[in-house]
Amino acid sequence: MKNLIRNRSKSLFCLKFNLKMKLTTFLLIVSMFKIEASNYAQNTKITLELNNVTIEKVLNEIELKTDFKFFFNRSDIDVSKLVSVKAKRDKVKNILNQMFLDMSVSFELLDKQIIIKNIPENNEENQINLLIDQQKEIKGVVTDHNGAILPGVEVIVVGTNRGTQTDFDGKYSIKAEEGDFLEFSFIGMKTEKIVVGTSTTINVQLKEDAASLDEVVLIGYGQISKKDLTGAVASVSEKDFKSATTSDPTLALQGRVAGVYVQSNGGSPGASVNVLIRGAASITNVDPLYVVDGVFLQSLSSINPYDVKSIEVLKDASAAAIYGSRAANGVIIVTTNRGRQGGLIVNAHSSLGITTVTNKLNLLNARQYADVSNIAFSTPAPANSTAFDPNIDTDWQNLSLRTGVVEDYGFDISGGGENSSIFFSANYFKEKGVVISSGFDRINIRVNSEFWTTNKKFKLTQSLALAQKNLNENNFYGNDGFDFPTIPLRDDFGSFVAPNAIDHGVSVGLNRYASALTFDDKNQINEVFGNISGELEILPNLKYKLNLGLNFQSNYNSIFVPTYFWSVSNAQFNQNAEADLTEDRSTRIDLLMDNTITYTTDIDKHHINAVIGNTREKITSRGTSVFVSDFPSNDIRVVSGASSFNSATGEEIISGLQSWFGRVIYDYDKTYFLTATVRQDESSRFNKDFRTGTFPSVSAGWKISNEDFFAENNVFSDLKLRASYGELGSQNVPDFAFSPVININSPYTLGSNQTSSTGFSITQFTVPNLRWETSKTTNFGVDAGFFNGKLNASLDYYVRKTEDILISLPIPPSSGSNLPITVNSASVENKGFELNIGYRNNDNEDFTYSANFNINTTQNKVTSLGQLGNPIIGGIFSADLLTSTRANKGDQLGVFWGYETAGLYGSQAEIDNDPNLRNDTAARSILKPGELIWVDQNGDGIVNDDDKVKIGDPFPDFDFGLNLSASYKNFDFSLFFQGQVGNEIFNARKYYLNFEERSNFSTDRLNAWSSTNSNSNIPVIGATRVDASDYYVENGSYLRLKQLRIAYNVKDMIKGLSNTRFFIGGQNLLTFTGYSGYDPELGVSTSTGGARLLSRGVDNTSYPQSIQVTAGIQLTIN
Amino acid sequence: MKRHINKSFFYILGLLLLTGSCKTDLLDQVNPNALSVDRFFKDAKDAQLALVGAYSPLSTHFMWGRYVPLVTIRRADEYTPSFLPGKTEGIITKSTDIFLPTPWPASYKVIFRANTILEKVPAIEMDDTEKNEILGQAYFLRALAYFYLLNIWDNVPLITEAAKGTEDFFPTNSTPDKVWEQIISDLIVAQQFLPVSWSAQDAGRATKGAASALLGKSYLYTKDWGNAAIELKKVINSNYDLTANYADNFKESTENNIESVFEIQFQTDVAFVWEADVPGAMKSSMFTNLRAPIAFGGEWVDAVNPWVLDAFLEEPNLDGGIDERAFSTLAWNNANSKIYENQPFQGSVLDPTKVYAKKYTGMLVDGRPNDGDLGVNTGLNYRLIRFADVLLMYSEAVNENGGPETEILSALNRVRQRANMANIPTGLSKSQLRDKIRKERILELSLETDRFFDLKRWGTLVDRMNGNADMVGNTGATADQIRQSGHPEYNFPFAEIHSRAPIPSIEISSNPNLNQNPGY
Repeated sequence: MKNLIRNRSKSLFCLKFNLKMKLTTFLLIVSMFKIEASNYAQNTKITLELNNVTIEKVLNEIELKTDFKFFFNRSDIDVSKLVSVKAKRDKVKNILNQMFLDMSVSFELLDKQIIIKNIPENNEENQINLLIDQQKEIKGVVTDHNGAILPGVEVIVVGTNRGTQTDFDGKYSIKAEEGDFLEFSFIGMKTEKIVVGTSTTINVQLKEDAASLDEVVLIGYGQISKKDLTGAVASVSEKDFKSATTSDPTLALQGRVAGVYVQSNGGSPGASVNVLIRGAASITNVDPLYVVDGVFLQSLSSINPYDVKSIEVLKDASAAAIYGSRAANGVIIVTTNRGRQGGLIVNAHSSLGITTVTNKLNLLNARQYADVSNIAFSTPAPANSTAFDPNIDTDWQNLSLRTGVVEDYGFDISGGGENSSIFFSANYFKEKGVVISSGFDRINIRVNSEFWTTNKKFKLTQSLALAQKNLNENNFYGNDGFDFPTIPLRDDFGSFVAPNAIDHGVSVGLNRYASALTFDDKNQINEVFGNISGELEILPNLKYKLNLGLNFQSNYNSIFVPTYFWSVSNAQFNQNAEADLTEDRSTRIDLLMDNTITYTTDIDKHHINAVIGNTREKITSRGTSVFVSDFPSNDIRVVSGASSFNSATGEEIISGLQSWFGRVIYDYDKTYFLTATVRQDESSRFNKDFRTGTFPSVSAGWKISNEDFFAENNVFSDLKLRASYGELGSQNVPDFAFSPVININSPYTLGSNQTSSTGFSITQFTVPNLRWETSKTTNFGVDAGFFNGKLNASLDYYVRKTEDILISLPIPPSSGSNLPITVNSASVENKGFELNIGYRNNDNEDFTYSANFNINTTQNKVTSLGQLGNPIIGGIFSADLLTSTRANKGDQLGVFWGYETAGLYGSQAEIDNDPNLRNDTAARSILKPGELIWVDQNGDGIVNDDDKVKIGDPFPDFDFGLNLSASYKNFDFSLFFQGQVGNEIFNARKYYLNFEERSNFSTDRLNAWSSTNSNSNIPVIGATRVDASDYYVENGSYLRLKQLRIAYNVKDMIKGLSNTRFFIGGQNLLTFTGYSGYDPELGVSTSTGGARLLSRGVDNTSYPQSIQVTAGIQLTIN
Repeated sequence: MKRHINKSFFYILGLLLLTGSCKTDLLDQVNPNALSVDRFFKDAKDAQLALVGAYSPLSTHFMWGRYVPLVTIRRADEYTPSFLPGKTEGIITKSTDIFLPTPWPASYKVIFRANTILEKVPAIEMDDTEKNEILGQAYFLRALAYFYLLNIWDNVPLITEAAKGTEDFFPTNSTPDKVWEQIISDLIVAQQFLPVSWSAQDAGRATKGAASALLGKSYLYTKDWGNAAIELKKVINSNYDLTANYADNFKESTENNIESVFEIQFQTDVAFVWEADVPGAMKSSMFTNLRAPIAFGGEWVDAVNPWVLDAFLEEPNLDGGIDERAFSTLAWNNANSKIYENQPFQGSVLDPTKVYAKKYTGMLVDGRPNDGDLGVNTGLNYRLIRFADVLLMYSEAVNENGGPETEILSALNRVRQRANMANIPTGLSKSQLRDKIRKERILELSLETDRFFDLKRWGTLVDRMNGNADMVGNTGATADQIRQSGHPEYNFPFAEIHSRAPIPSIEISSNPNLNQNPGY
């Protein structure tokens, strides 16, 4: 009878558990957890040797060493009794039996909870009746820390076998008597124990407990418990990106994950974000793969940060291997929010921020400019007394800068029923840039839903996102210097003017301010992306999943240039006789289909998870571009208004990728781990014979802390070693790059009628044997947990060799084409350490705090320059194409390359006697005192290109991030520091501000070398030595308070408003740097591909970074 | 149960295989944007299309559309660069100059395309005459491109086969002698293959006369006077003549006339995008803006050095008036000097103290609508080789070769007679005749292309460009003063190294086998 009751109640419990718990959005997590739990109870063995201790002490020891928790009623069980226990790798059950040998107790296992009960000696039935009589019905609602209701929370009466779960509305009801403890537990939350008093209502709010439970991380076509990871994977949760008002969720990764370098492209609104995972591996493409809900995206710029639930970064080859050729630069997996069962929850947020530039440049005023240019250009003077009007003094920098405004509004609503759940969100983000004529806005709408059959054998998951982005760029501000202060803002007729010899003494120079206001530059991107996937459970351990993804993008760009006349000089820029319009439109459709079969099984202590699948992707894009001119009015700005059709071009690109993959994740007793992955890709971008690439990887882990010999101690709670090796490919080449084509547009005028004859020509050379670029990564890692998981650290060391890098390289124009060709060339090696340390203290409920620190070093080296064999030159920093960087064999990729300087020439005699110039009469006759001394490295007495050397590199010795957060009662607080040390910046601004005669100068010019100011280290006015040299190179180290945030949370401020959060925050508030330019955190300008990477650290940035202060409110209603 | 597992497993596996089976559709993508090279060079039509492709770069602004005139005229003594100039004016001293490289790639495009034709066309089954005419034009175009490359840069790579693989991309410098040999041998073949003339719809193609003229010119430049005279005489004996009006050589209505031996063909207002070498945007004549007064859309504030006008004023014509060629070459403050739309020179619009260019500024282009940009974008053809030049080169070659005097004088005076100038008398010494011929080249050919090359081949370039006060541009400063003004672009004396341009950095930096011209 006893057994009967017990069995029945247990089965009832299990039934409820199955019905409700599995209905939560954490379906997979839970089922995994369950499988693990049942195995756990059967298999977990521990070693104990304790003499004459209390039973309580033994139970505590077992709790420490295992995931088991004991529950008992002290009045039933005498836990102060002294016992001795000796066990060597024995099952817990046996230890308990040994300990309670002479006591009449029973054990009941509920999940990982062991309930110890006294077995009554009297008639059982009577006893039970008696108990029931004293019990009353306790009811209540369980919510999370935000007040959101929690369905599926386990509620048990401690020391009994009575248990229940909260329903869809978070409600529960259970019988208990006064003095009983009710225990509420839920995944990811701290377990609460509450004593039953006189009240029959107990409402409970569970607190988050990130450290406690298995964190599940996504690893591509599957997921894994973080504890079982063998690859290098980092994850960032939603809290981190909701705390910053940024347009792009990628920015939330900045400084938070070791080895992930995130850089916004200058402070421009809507600027693209560069992400480098573990240094610069490839040359042409360094962008990681972005996977959002199973769909491949090119960036996260269309994602509403408030939609993001978590971001996982797969850093090493073994972690990323399942994505094969797509993953050479790492993978960033984004999961968006989904609905969950229970009533509706509405979140809304609104924030407003103000931005201002971090720094302004010191430029000359009109009088100073006139003086300096009179010295620079002696005959005849450009700003001489007749042409110079002292009443004009225009500060173009100030005119072009303003206070920016960032606005962000949005809401989401979510909920779910027994067979479905839904999440809907909408967001509007708008940024008015700190530079005139720049701005960005974005509208996001997202619908995520899930449907499942009651027996849960089939589940359909859907996500759909719409985004519209509007970008206005100011492509003129500071691009190549600043306008002359001697030019008036407007002339007497109210029109803009540009420099001309008659009025301003100079016949060069532009009016960039006028250009920015005059050019009508629009850029709009409309995107629809999402996926639908069906998952069918064929057998309890065999699942089939079909995922269909879509990413539709339509781009629209137009630049309308109205008629204008600012100057007779530089007619190409300063006047436009006929209005013209350039308009591009293109659409890109990316279709994806994945089929996967997942098989999981546990055989004794062997745990196996295997997945095989295939994926097919087709990308089609088609675009048209027209250039038309001669409009009847500046107000007509559509193509049909033009009377002259100058050009129309169009292009279609189709590419296909077909892949097979398989992965086995295996562990023995959760102690020894092995993962093996192989992926084979076939790409349409290569010739038939070269199109297949096979990319294997293997990784292993050893959880030492699970071993018997792992000494019991109070410090170490977790220790795991990891090692992996993997190969990945890259098909980063233009479509059709291997097949030579005829250009059908090479006409010539022939005949007395002077008409065009069609001509064909070969304009682009190709390399038919293009093949996959391969990167081979070896990774070693240690994960350690201390003080019961409060302190966690992980250290990784990796070596990544990238071979056959696909580069588009310039070829000598003497070949007959001046278009670059794509070749397999060069190899680069990156190696480095990454360290993450996190500490979290939740002991005191009123005061919790955490700190996360990460630090990263990367060493980067070009190991070969492959097929074409030449150093690759980049980093153009002047209008006449002076270059500042190059990729040399043996050096880092893109070191600064120029002349070493040795001060300034103090006199003509120094020039005449300079051994660096002993064979260079021409140079000696040109140079004048006050110019830079360039060192003749090869000793031939002539200083020329051969004497250029490495003068610095843009790679930091280390970069780091420190995140501090704390909460005290209703307040929470976070601080985020970020910085890098040991990198150099090539300050190209010095060129424009000191040497370029087409723009205003820096105030440095006032202190330039002259015969009366011979101590100056600033080259003489009118210097000719302006080519790349260490004169431009500066230390780029900095430490920055990237983010500060203070928030105040109020519960139930108004009825129905369960949580209200007020926050105020700032970005880039403090910066410590010795760098003299705008900002040490550089953007990489607008160049792409190799040019982009080889421009790293070259400060051509035209758009300043900004300080931002934001205030806002977030509401939760349920 | 076990059977059940197996069944569903294989069912799913089958499904996977099914979805993966149509891979060839996905992976064999054909470029929809262009024709595949494999399917080209199959017939005569293809050969003709490729030939037009080889002519195509000539009229782009990378070559005669703008930059060949720019890098030649601007380096001679006819203009003085204005003060604070753009990067293109005057002597180019830096290999990174953004305008300098443009004729280099464009010339090598012509060469590559001609090389391809010379390799592929012989194998095509087609009419032999047509085939030879195609090959003849390809040889001519290759020689023409090398002629200008060589005279601008001197030490250029000599490439006579189209690159087959990446290993062929890195040629070394050749010597000027080798390149001259190639030019001459190409032109000898071209001369044999080319027709004497083309039908009206083919006007503009290279002719036998064009090949002979360029061949003669090449001999002249290499001081092979005897052969120069022989080749140029062939042109003189052919079907060319001087036009009755000198001005007809610079008008749009009289293009491809009897005096024109080879001219680059242009149309008005064809699609044009600055610096863009993209389909549909590469043909336009932007050479007029270089020389036009700024009031009419000119860009460079340039005026012609007054000594050019003085040369015309030195000797009156047979009616006692000013040499009529002056009115087609220059515009200045003179009652008979006409500018755009045949309007008189107006001091209010143009600076009366200055001399302006008229040739190739659009002023002589008749019948243009006045849309405010008279100095911009004409459809005027560029007369690259005029019969008058052939006559003058012939008289020079014969003179240098030691006579006979009648041959020298008949050619020279034929040019002068058209201009209503008195005949050069007999009995002058070789050196006196040399001076007369050189002077005549100024009067006849000023502001066309060859002045810089003439000074260079005569060996007088460095002397001429240094310290001559008669080179005073529109700012009143002499070229020397400007060069030594402290402006970084001009802070040097004119030296021998400046007689050849620096090889563009885009070539040097991508080709380790190639040496920069000495001194740069």
